[in-house]
Amino acid sequence: MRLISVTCPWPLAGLLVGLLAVTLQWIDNLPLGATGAAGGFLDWIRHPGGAPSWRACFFLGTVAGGFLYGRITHLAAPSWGPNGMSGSTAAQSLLLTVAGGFIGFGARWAGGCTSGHGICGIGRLQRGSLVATLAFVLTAVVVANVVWRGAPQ
Amino acid sequence: MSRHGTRAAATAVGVAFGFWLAWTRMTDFEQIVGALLLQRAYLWLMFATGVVTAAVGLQLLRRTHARTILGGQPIAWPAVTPQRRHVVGGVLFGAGWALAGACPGPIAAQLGLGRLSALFTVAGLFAGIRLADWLADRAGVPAASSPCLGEAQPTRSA
Repeated sequence: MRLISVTCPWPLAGLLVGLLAVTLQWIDNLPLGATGAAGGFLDWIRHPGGAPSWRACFFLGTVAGGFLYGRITHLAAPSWGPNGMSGSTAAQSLLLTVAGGFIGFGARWAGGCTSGHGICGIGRLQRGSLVATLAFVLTAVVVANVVWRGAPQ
Repeated sequence: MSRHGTRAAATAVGVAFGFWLAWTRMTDFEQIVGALLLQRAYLWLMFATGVVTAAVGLQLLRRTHARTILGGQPIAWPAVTPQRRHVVGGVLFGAGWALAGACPGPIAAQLGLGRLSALFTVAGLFAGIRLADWLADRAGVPAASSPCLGEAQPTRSA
């Protein structure tokens, strides 16, 4: 119980996420990918008649997993959230909405995000995933250094 | 081959993934932005370990000619050749990732943790996905060849 209330040690964290990608592949050749999952969930709520796709299920599972962690570690009380982000609540809301738009558009356009291209795609030795990952990692490092360096955290 | 089985398995792995995201603090702004400012090594070390683990595990599955647990199919995945969309999308995604200090998985897990700010991020996320799908449909561009949207999901038709 004490182990899960502190940050997971990185070697274990890496091992676990790699194994999650392997598990999905082994189950039914499924790719680990949060953007595809969010897209599947979105398709399902827009056309709620049918059964949810496996991607929609994965998205709902991810939300539930965060909830479960919060309950077990007693961190589940609703809070505003982005610890360390500077600015007023209104400014943060606006920034997060716009940033969310970039995240959704960019990841969908690229066909994957940190999990789909980064872990799963590179793990599968897919060259396109390596290109996408280099593009988003380099961009993110530059943007973070321009926007957040020196900002009160 | 049971679709119910696939849904149940995807839900279970999703729960594990969401739990993992919260446990590794990928749901925290400081964890992500600290890594991007090259002040925290955690994300990079975890990522490298994760990629190596996935690569070794997937190669093992393929080379031992393992079959899928549901349906007994050969282990296979599509080839993803580099395309312009990987770069364009990657750059836009990277900018959003740095600004929000979150990416799609952590946004979902933040919702579960009760982080109210994630309601804004997820609204933007959904709008961005819709816009990308709409533009791709309109331009008649097939979905980028990708691990997320590979052959498992047929290309959208307009």
